[in-house]
Amino acid sequence: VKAGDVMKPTEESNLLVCIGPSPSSEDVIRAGARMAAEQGVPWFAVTVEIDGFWTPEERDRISRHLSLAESLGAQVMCLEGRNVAEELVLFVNDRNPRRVVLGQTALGRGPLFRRKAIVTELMRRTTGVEIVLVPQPEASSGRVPGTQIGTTLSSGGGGKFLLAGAIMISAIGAALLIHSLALGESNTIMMLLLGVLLSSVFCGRLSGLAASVFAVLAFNFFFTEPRFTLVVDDSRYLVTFPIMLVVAFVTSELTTRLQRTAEIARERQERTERLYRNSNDLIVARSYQEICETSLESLERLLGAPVGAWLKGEFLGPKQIDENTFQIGDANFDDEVEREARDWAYRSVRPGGCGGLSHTESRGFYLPLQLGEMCFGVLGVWCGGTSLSTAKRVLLTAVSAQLALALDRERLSLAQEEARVAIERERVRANLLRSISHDFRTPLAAITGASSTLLADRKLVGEKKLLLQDVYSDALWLSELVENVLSLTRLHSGDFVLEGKEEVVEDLVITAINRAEKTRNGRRIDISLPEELLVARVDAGLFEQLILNLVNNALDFSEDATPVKVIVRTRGGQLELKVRDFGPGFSSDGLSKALDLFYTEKARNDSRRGLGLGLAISRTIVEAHGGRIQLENHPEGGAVATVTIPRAGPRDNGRIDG
Amino acid sequence: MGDSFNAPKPLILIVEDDRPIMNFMKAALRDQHYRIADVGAGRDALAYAGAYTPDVVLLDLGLPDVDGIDVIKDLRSWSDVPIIVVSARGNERSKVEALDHGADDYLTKPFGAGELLARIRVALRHSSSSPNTSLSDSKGVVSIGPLEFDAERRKVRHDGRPVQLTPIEFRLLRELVFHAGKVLTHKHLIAKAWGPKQKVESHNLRVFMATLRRKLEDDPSRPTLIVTEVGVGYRLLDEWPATAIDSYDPT
Repeated sequence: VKAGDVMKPTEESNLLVCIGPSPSSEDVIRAGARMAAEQGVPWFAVTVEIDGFWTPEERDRISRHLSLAESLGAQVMCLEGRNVAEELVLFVNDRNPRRVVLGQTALGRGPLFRRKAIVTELMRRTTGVEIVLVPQPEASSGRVPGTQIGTTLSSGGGGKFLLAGAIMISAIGAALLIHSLALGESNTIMMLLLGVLLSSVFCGRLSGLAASVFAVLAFNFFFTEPRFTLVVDDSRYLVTFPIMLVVAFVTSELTTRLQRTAEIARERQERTERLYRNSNDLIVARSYQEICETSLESLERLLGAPVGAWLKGEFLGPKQIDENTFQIGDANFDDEVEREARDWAYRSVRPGGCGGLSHTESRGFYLPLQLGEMCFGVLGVWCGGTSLSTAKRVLLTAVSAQLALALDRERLSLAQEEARVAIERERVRANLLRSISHDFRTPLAAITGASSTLLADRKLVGEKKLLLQDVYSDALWLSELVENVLSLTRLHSGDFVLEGKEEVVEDLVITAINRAEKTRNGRRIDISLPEELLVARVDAGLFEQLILNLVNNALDFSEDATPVKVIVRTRGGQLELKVRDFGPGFSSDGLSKALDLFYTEKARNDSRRGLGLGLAISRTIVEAHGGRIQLENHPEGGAVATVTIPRAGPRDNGRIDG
Repeated sequence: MGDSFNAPKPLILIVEDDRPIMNFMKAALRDQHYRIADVGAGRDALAYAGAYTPDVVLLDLGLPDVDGIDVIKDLRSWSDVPIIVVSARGNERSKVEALDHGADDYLTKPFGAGELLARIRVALRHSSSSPNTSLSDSKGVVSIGPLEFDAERRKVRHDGRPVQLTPIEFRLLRELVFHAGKVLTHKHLIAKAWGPKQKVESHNLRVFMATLRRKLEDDPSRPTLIVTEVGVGYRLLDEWPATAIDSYDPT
């Protein structure tokens, strides 16, 4: 299949828009884009590149049209060949778009060429395709190569004509030798035709045609009676000459066409190969620099022009690139005009510069390196004033897509690496915290025990007793803190799985409250338990700690004379636990942040107390049980913490993220 | 203490590798005139216990040389000496394991002198002859605070009022009363109340215990008789008033 080897579409496309150099092609493109959007289908914009046919202005317009189509979301393709209708028919039959959108120029009313209209050809030779014609007010201004063959002759240049002349003279010499040896007229003619063939092969089409005429004239001049004149005696030669001319013409034409086809095939092959090699090289490339350099090398070889890539650091993470400009070839990319064109292309995420949608006065063409929502930077090529050929433009698009993909892959892998390092760092920190806390336990137990032993001495009175009491209660407080830290590191260790058992809730509540009362002398804690026995699937130790934390928090933030209320009940099949105090309540800031780690409000009695762990751990414990915790201020004053936990236990085994 | 004036004071063997904790335990026990021996490793503990037959062993579960559980197994193979294990909080599983392997009681760090001494008293009481002789009167009725437990007539009174118990509840209470002051694991209580072969979910036991508590406590939210040891089991408080055995209250 001829079409589509420049760029394989990733998905079946359903709408095809044909683009030419006519200024009204813009309307066609917009109409196509609209239809594609309405139907929600991807679309192609296709143009046919005909070697040497388009004038520089037309080529410039085509390039702009392609840029427009690209910025409207089309996949841009360039077909190569000698005949627009032929290539389109092949393409349509290959891809089966449901709809083909064409401009009115395709009707073929142009006066310059007699040709079959593209539309007629499409209708005749394809099936199941809707053809949509977009009216164009100035249809006649479009110049469309229809079905004509060979509208252009490859200009051979003086050298080629000289070579052809030399070949023909040699052929005539050889023919004269054959003639003098009397080997027969047919051999003479064959030798001359061989000359024509060789001229076509080596010197191109125009030389071939000239050689054909020359061969007939030479035959007449050198070999027919009377020789060395252009006069013919034998009237049979009047048949020979035209036949010979036709044979020479056809030989020449077929040869050049064959050669051209082979050449196109070779070029395509080379391009495909280079794109393929580029994508292979990109797979091994391991840094932004390597990726850009690899792509630019391929691109420079494909386009034969200076190329450059400009990456924007902020999209690749803050610290990963210092040098973000890569250039190959000698071109003045640093010019102010170029810079502006690049900036525009980057900011608007549309093709800019020479042949782009804006800043056309610049001498480089710039494509945004786009992937989905992200734009990594700009890929540029130096075209020195005239737009790139469509084929090259499509190549540029292909390379830019490869480059953007590779950059994105690199970005993701760097981000992943960073995340891995962060997790590792966090793990080390947690392990450190855990082992330190663990080591605190024993000395704290010794301090608590020793001070309690000393306090048992009845002879101890006054200030010494007070100091010792402080030692004792602070050691107890520190022990609670250490236990909280240990629970926290355990809950966040990543491999923690909650081991819930059926527990009688009131047992846990009572035990926790007894523990709280033990360290808070004289504080009143009112407990309200339901009549029925509440059984819930919880981790007993953690649940006890949850209640202890909530109660301790309530005690810390309320006056000694006020009680703390603990209410346990079922609600909607769930276990509900409320802890209420009669203190000042949460500040508005605290209501939203008190459950966060290390958030603290100044406690009533002692500013030192509280690392902001208690409530954060409570939340972690509740979440591990698949429940919720909610803080609010009671309308009659005081803070209320409400915990709801499903009685059946957490659904997903109580795994905790992070 | 029922010891006669001339009898030697009980010998307490402390197995603990942390010097400060050892020092404080020794100080607390010496105040009560117990005789004390201390070792820092499990192997030394076994050697000492073999040679001197202590009355109570205080065993830290986190020993440097051997697993505390192995020390318990070894001791239990030839001795009935009461063993009180000492361990950090959060190690409920190792406590239960120690208790199921024959340890009598446990202490959770941090603990105060009062708690330590109460555990020692309970252990000494249970080591002397049959269960709860010290608590039962001449007719075999055990009184603990407001509770009167008559095992022979299967009668239970609370503040003089009779309490109706189901057979399982009665068996649970009997076990707690016979081991008053000691912690009894879930496994132990299930085996005694339902029979060793029965497969009973531990939350069934918890429900029975909660019901029992409601029948016996004046205020179930302030238990003075049956205390839950979270993650381990239950304990019937046997020193009256109950607060006396709690950790030392420093104010």
